[in-house]
Amino acid sequence: MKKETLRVLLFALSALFAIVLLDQLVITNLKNSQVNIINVALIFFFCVSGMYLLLGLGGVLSLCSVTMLGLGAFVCGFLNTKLNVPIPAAMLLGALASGVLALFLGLLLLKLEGPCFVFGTIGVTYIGQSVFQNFAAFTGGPNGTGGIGKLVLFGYTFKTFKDWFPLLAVFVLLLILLLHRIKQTTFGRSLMAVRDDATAAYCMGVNVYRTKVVVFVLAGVLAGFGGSLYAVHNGTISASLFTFNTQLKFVIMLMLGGVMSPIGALFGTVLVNYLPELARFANSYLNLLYGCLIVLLMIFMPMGLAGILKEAVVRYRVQRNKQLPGDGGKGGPSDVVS
Amino acid sequence: MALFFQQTLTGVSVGLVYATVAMGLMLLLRAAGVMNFAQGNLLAMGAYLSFLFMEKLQLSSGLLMVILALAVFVAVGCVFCSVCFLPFKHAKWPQAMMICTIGAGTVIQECCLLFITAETRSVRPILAGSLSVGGFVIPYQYFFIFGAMLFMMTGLFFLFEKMYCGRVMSAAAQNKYAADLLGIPTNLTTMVTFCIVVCMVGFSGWLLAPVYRVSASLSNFQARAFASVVIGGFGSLKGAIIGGILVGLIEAYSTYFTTTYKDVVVFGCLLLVLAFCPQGIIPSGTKKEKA
Repeated sequence: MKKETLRVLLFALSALFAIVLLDQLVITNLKNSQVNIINVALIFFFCVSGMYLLLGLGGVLSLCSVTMLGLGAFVCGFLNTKLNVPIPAAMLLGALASGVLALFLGLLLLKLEGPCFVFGTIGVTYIGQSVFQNFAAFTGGPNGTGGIGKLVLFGYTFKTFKDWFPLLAVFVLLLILLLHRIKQTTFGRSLMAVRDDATAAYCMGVNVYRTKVVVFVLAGVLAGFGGSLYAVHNGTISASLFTFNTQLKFVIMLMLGGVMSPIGALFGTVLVNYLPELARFANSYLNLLYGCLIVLLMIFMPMGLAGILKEAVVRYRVQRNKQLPGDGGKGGPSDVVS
Repeated sequence: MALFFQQTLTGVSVGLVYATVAMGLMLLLRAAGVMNFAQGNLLAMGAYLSFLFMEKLQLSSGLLMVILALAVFVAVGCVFCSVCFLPFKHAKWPQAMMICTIGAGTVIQECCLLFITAETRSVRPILAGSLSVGGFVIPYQYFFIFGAMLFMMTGLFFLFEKMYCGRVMSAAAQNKYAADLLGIPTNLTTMVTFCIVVCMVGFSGWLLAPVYRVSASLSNFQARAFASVVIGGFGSLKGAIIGGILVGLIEAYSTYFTTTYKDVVVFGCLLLVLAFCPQGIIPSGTKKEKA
């Protein structure tokens, strides 16, 4: 077996072990509302990981993932409550609907460059926000959609939030492995080439437009699947979640954890979602604290938590190499995070 | 017919506000390369400041208020620049700067809510009374808004097109490296641009306060400003102004057939413009002025 495969297997096994430990020791002792916050963070990670693919690998800043999340959630809810489609099929169809919307938008918008594309996606988010809030026949309007059925997998019904945690954690683990894998495929490498220099990538034979559209659709499908998970997990969906402010929160989650690292992004997501619970003592000053924190974090660690960690590791290696001059400078400053 | 005039008037006056916010956005994008997501919060800050001075502190002299407000805006501009621009000059990810403006916007909004007022308040208009002509009513405040906005826009044009310091600032915006070589203090010009933008947006918030009341939801104007920048033509100040007025008119006329889907109409137009003429309605001049 190759060393890389072994490492991935080891990572997956230890992560599974960590999930079991977390579930048995931490989650059972938390209040239901706190478990809900963590589960929702894990669901949001689907959306954030799509943005990691777009921004971290592809260098494309898209501000409409929240619309994909919302579409996935509402399609799943609509199919289940109005047309009685069974839950697993409704979830897949929700993800598919988001993918189709993403394909359409990607074909339309990805021809544009820089700020124009960002402005276009902002427009999509505002349209989505308005439609979700007002299109009562589809989304239930201001009341939202309620009474979505429970998920039944292999005869096991997921009833409480605590039942959901292991499932979501395993999903997230699979997602992280998938993201890790994507980075090593031809597609992932061409994506990074597009990020670093689109012209050079084009000259090397990468179809820039198609690569961007594919990654946009992939991010849309992930966000849509996250949305349908959200719908089934909560049982009710309210349109007030899918606003531009939530989208900005997703960007903050990604940047806080580290735009280049899926695991960092996961930590960022959980942290941002759990922060109101942690900083309850600050009550009315909470938002002020939050704003100050964002500013300070961006100034002092623009690559997020993962970036700081990586830098520390590199510095440690450099120091160790200095102490052992015979080591041949392995892991030297050549891969310093810039 | 009266309804049509009324809609046009509201459209244009709201459009002028979008235009100032959009112009601020454009200037910052050119000078600092930052997409400012705190623009709406700065607008709201202007409105809060008007409430603070006029109702809470009961200042009587108009001149004193303007000078105080100017001082506050310049201070905010300097702090904003040194927090959101200077630390990121050599950053690899331009997105970090953008996130920083989101954080700064949250801080500004929370400061207003905590230290000035947490409730939605109304402010008395600067010019009371209204003019009624054949069935439709124009409050005098609207004329004041028109006048002040036109004054601000012409001032800005004069600064950037005719005056030496304005040219220096556009030079620094267009090519930082070359401007540095010519001895232009680029940090200073960027800071001045930030101050001008904060003053402009802040005073528009001040003018809007009597019409829209003072609340944090004033920051929603920002989204329309994004739309105006694109519709008018990306990269030019003229485009931002015309785009702003167009967006205001589209929004006002859309009430003829829908009230709930206003956002869909406005941003649908944005997507249409992006799809069919991505250079915007005024493509000329963008090459010349583009950063």
